[in-house]
Amino acid sequence: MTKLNIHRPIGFIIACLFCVLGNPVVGQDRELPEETIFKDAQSRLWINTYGNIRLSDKFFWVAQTHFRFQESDNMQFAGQIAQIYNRHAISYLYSKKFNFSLGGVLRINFNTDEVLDNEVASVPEFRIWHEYLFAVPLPRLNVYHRIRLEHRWSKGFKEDSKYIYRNRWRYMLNVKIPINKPKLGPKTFYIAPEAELIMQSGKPVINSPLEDLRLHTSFGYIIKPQLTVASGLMYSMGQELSNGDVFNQKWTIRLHVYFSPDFRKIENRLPAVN
Amino acid sequence: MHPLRNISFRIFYCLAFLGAVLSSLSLLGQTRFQAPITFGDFSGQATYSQDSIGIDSLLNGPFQADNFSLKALSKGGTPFSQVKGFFNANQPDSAWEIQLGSLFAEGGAKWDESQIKVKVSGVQHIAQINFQGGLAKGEWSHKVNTLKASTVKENLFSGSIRLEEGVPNGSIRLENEHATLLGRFLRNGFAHDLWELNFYNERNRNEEWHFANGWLEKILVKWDQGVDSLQPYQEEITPFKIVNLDDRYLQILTLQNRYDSLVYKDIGGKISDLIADNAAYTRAVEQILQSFDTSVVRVSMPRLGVKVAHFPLSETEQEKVAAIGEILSEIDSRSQDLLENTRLNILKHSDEDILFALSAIQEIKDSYLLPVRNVVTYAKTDLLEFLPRDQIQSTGTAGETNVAEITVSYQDSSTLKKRSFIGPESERLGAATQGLTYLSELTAYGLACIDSIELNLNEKLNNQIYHQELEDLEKNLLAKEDSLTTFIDTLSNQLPESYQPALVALKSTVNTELGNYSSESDLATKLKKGKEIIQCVEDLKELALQVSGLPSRWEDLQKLYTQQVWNPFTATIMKDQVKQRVMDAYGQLLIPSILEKIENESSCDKTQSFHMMLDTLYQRMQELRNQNTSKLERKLKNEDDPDVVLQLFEISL
Repeated sequence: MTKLNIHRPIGFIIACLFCVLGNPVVGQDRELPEETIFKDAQSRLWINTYGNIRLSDKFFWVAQTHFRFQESDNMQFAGQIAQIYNRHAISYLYSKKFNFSLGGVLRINFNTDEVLDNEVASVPEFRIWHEYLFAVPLPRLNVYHRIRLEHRWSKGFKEDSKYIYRNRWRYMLNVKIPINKPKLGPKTFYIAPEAELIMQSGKPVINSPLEDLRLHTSFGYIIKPQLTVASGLMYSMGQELSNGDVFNQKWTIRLHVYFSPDFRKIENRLPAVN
Repeated sequence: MHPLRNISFRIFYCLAFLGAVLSSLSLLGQTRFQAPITFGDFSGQATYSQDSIGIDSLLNGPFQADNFSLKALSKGGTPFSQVKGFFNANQPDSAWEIQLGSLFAEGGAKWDESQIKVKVSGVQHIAQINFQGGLAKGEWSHKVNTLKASTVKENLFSGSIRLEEGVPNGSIRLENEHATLLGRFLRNGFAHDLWELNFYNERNRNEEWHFANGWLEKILVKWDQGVDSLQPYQEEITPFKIVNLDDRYLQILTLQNRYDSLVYKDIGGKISDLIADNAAYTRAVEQILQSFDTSVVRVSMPRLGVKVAHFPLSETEQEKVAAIGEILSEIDSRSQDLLENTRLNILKHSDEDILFALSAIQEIKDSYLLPVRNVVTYAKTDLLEFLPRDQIQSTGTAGETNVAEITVSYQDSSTLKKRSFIGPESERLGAATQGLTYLSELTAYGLACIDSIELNLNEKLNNQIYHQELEDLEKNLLAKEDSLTTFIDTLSNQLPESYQPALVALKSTVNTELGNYSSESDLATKLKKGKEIIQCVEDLKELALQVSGLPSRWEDLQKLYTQQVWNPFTATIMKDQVKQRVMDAYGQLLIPSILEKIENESSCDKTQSFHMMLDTLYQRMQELRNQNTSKLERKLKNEDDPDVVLQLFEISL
């Protein structure tokens, strides 16, 4: 069996990150500033839908749509559409403790600043992504390790802007803790603290490997196995691509809807898994 | 009364057949036989002679029959009889002696020349008759003695009468240990003139019967103090009938109200006793002589002629009496059945009405219908033709006494009580009618009374049976009601509040039905209803059990309608209830609706249907789990009428 060892995923993740990224600042000649610059935190609102549509016993169609808003000069709080995010993939359920997905993303990035003459209001961004999710069920909570790798092609809003290619290396540690019931199940409230480190690499990435560090806690309710809602608050910070000395900070209110319909005939549904 | 007077015997001619010992003396074609004979209940030996003339046989010569066994020598043993006589061409002839008796060995047995001689004691009746050509001629005598050790101790009765060609002629003498009766007959055989009884020890007492050509004109009983007299026939009456002077003659006089035996006894009359004794002894002899085959032996018994008034029966009267007799038999039979009914005889101790009814039956049978019974008896004993039927009437005077009213006396546990009983249609019993018509009406009324009482008693019996059954049934009913109440009370503590009204309604249903039951007065209906309630209580208990099982059924259905679902967002398997609308329709609409119906409409009649409804619904829910219910669920979305939902579930009740 080639089953992955999911019991020690953290060591594996860190090892991967260092192998891929190395020491990003080595060899730069630029003068280092005396201290890091942290920009004022920006407010954001994400409205995300997560769909896992069951196709068969082992395969799911992952369909996620995110609507991301943020503040702008004209919008004091998260009123400006920033991205519309369409993420799709086919997920394979290897076991109850491991699955992986492979798919693409089409993201529309909106120019949240004033659109100048030589700029466009929005540009598409393309990604290929693959994800490896490890679930660690414990008696009173569930722990998840998610490794996601994204290969992205993006560009700026200038008309003559060219697509640049980067890779993203993401690791997320997530815990779901049921509140009103001993186990996660229908009609269960839960709290889910999570931390995600997003590193990036690629030619355009000079001194800003830390794209984002997200600290997020959400409060959710499992209406039924096929439908869950959650909301949370996320603090994130990360280096600006063009200047690694500068760190962006953001506070994001996140509203999530999770749905996992199963359109198969009843007689084809059993067994539920494995 | 001689103990053997009712004995009859028949002679079997067993000529040269099995068991016969033939000792023949051939003398001019005459054969002498010794053969078994039957004397009443026992057998003996007869010796007789018979002449054969062609194919005919004639009894000729001496005849002797003995019926004696050693058993006769024990006290209480069988009577003996001996007949000695002579036949002449099948007719008794010459001297005959008939001995009847009841003897027993007194002891002192002696051995004498190969024989045991035993002295006997007892009663010996010797009758001697002379016949000529089958007719009694000369003296006919009876001697009845008591023997003590084969010695005559006392003469109980002696009688002698002169006869000529079978007809009494001259004097008659009857005597016992107290008195002697002397009387005489005319040549035509009728009692005539003075018949006088003289007492041995009472010289100043005598009794006279005065006959005139067969009519008994007067009876005089003389004492020192005076004379008592009766006057049966003060004049000759037409039509009349000649009868034998015997105890039956005395009965006829009584029937015709010319002679009251009680008054006669009261004044000290004794001739009737001698006449009755003579008749009894004569009858004993007569029965023996008439036991001969009358087609062969011609014998004529003498009649002591007396005349009595005669009231010949018409054909209509005979039919009426026969009909009365049949009804009386029916009355007797049904009365006896009721009087001997063991259940009634037990119940009469606790139910005065039954005691009264049984006493009324007894009264009707023994007293009220006595005139009818007497007439029927007279008819059977050929005495009715001597009864002046026109004198038969109700004892009461018309218009004053209710003939139909029967006074019944009965003894309850403490006192003797009297109550009147009046049967149905009593107005039809006219006090004015008389004779056999009156008796017919009386008999019919008696039957109607028995009918009525029997009906009443049968109802009582049925009621008693019902009561007994009801008692058992009510014990059972109360036990079941108690069991149901306890059961529901126990359930009430275990079930959610929403179930309480329905369970309370089940208890109320029992109470309502018990109320209806207790108000029912008709026992048969009550019994039927009681049985129905028992069934109802059992059904209600079943329903209560079923209601109590609804939470468990709900859990079962929840399990049935729950599937394991993989939640990819939590990476866990979760239980998911499918067909939520079907489950909601069951749990939130139909079950509450049925419970509400039970609460509002519970009754014995509907219990089964509620039971069936719950069962059918549960079964349907199980079926629906594996069926495609998408259409049903769409329809259920906006439907909140339980009846419509039941239709959608394809349940029709």
